[in-house]
Amino acid sequence: MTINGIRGSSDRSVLVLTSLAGGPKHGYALIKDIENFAHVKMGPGSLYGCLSKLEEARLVEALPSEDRRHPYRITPSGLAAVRERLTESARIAEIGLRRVAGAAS
Amino acid sequence: MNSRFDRWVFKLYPRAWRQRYEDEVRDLSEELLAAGEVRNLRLVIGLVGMGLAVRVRSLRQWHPFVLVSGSVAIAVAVGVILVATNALGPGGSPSLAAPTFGTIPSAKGGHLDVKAIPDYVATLGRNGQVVGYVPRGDLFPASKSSAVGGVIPVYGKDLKTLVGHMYPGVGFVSLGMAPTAEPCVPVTTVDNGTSQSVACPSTTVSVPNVAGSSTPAAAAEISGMSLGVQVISVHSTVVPSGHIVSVSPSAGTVVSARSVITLENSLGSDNG
Repeated sequence: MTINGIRGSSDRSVLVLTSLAGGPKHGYALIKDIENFAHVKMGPGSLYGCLSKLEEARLVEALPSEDRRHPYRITPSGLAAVRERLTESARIAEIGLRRVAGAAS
Repeated sequence: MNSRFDRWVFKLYPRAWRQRYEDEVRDLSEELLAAGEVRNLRLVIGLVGMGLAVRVRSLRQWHPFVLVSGSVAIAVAVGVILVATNALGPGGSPSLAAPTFGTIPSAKGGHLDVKAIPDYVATLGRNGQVVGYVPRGDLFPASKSSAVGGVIPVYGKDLKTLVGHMYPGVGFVSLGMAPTAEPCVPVTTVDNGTSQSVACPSTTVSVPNVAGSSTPAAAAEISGMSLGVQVISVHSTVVPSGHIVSVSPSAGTVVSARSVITLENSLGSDNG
């Protein structure tokens, strides 16, 4: 259940939004998906801590379901938010990697 | 999940949260445990941590007053402690007395603000009396040209008449006097039977050609060569005011150190 390197709740939110951007999921699928693409193991506590915050902010919504476990889906504003956040991270990553390559030479 | 932990872990979460999420989280936890994805203890720790975080979040949401007043109380307490230990408040660092014309502010116990020094700074003689004034730019030279060899010209009250120079390591030397330096004695040392002597530096110097240069610059240059300077003013139709008409002994003459050189400063033509 260790969260490797990802400490802040905002980082975890980005992971959850990224996972949901690929399609609606419920809790278990979210955890497995995040483990797959980010190699981060989130526990149910932190996952739902994240989901509740995102739901409050209307970036994700719960879909109706018969059994107790609801699938979650990303909302349009959630998509916009994660797109903006990831674009910014990518920009900084590019600058950073360029500099690191320059410094190493 | 162990039903022992089960009961109290979820009590940490606010009621509204529990109503919405408890069942889901519990089911998910069971599923993960059953699949061997997670260990019981870590699961519980994670749930406890999240519970507290969610609690704090809800506090912020429903009781902003609590948060604000709490922060204010802490800030006030910190302020009281700081004042009590004299870190803040009156009696802190002493302020420098504002410099009056011609005084060098004391840097003792204070931060010397260069900008606070007026354009001319008084030069004090050995007995603490004011002997003249030095342009601020020379004390803190921005351009090296005004202080030749570290020798700084000192002017009289009118800020134009050269009255002497400040020699590094010597202090103020008035015009017409040569800077007194310890007479040099050749040093002979004996080291393992071999003797070495260090000769004194040359005691003669050649008078430079400063005719036409500006008087302060010429005086500074000559003083920097360990020669005394004496300035007399004459009228000249050829040389502009404030510049050197002639040098005596003439340029090129070899003189001994600490001789006095006489400079003729032009006052301009006699018509004005």
